[in-house]
Amino acid sequence: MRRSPQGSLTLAALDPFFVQLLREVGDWADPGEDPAACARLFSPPAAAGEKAVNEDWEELVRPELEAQFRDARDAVRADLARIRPEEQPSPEPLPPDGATPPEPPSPTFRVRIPARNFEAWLSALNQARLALGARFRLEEGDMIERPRSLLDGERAFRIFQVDFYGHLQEMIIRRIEGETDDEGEDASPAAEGT
Amino acid sequence: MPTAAPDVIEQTDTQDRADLAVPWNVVVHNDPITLMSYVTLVFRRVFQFTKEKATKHMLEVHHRGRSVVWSGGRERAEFYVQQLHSHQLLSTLERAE
Repeated sequence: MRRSPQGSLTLAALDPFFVQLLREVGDWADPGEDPAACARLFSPPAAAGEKAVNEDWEELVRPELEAQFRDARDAVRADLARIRPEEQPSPEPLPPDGATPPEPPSPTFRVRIPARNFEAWLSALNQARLALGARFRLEEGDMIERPRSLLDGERAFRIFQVDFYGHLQEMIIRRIEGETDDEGEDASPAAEGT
Repeated sequence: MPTAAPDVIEQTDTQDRADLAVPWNVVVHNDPITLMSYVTLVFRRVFQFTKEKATKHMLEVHHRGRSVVWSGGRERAEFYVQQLHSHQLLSTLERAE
């Protein structure tokens, strides 16, 4: 991660795998018609017995929340649409006839998060994490004992994805709080769960 | 000629006034996904808590499953719960006992 003089964050040297995870933020954040994701992102504001409070909320507040969440997702999608490949070093000279040519370096990418969009990123990443957590029924234990391999199945993969989004949230929070982050610093493990 | 409607309206008004007079608690509940640092940041933003107070409430949510972060009138409580929901924190308002 790099902090630019303008206050933005730049995620550099991103592998295409992580670019793909970033591009999925908006889709996962959108609960659509998924009952579990909707229930988490639009939970009632009061116990079931407070019928009037909950009905007013559904009518008046939920549409506002839906619009806020959609705006955040759109801002993140717009930033991600500007992802660009990084310049690669010059290719090595071709080997003599008959020798196996070296594999070209994997492409890497860079994404810039403007400071004005930090809140939108925090919101969209959180929406995505919560929706993933609800859809895959992730629990406290899942966030403490990480899967040993991404190949342990889709649930294991989604736990990794939730973790990755959490790392990004931590980076943005540290930036908002004014803590120093130097280029190349590895993010500390995200603390999970309240 | 009197109708039933005014009586109904008066009862509703009385009920509303009673609701507004009773203190309400704003409660934040534990969830396994939300980052501790994010919850602390939201508490500081919404309630203007100091970092220490925000951290104290965040840890209470984490360890006890819930924390009462504000008490007072219903309208203000609803406002705060809306703010917390806009940050996707699991929160409710409850009548104070």
